[in-house]
Amino acid sequence: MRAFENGADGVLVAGCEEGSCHFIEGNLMAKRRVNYTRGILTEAGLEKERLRMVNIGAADAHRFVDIVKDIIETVRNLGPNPMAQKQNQKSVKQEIRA
Amino acid sequence: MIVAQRKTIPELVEILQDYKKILVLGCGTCVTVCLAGGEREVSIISSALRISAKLKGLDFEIEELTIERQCDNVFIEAAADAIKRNEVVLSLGCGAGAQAIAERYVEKPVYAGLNTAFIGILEERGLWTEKCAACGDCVLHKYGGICPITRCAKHMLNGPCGGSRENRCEVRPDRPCAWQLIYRRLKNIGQLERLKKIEPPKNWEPSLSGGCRVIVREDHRI
Repeated sequence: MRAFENGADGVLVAGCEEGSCHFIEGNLMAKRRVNYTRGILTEAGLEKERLRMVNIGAADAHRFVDIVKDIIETVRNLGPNPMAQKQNQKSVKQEIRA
Repeated sequence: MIVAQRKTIPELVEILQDYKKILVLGCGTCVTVCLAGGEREVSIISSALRISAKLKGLDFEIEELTIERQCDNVFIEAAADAIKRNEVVLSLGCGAGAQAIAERYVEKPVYAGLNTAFIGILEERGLWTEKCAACGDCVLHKYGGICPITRCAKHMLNGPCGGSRENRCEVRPDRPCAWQLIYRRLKNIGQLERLKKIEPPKNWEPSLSGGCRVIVREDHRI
């Protein structure tokens, strides 16, 4: 939520493949919470498609690249996050990195 | 504990649209446990409000704070400065908490950000169920510890109604029949004989129908 508030156009959450998470069911819980957050984003007026969670293995680099390309395309079609319009882009990037 | 649910973001924006400086005030007790109004929910709801406000052209300045307990004057004190420097308080406490804040700060608008739902328990992870209707005249001892007022959809004191199917309530098929539970429980504790006694109509005088209830403990009064 804070990333979107600060102007991020999209957020991709990547968790382990189902059944192989070091935290047993952590990736499944994360998926439920990401879905909940997508609902709140919609209520707030942002497109839920800007937030996505995927389950992917650490060795599956090719699929990861495809997923990243896909969300970039999705976000590009949606256009910039309206929250970013009055933001100082440099400070946003610094805050997200922090 | 008291179980509550948050209002939707559009509802909250409508409530707050005439204000600029807003305090979103969480409560660290029941509503934290039921994931409705604790520190984390204060943060999430505040973020969503800021996003929604900006998209609608509103100018919200939101301060976030969570205190130990909103329904107790001793703990409300911890929010005094934050309440004073904001125009309005959006309480993420239960209905009692929000009213306690409003009574303490008579010139400050205080709005409830949650819908207070019931007294209940966490039955499974992410699932809360009602267990007590706070009727003021507890009958649990007669029914093996299972409340027919709260858990029977027809509030029957002399059940069952005969409509249950496969141990499920006919009004709420997703819930177990309370009278099935009562029967099984009384059988387990060897008190089935209780069911032979016809229970007279309940005294509803101590319930909410008599108006706002008050309990006085003279031994603790000053």
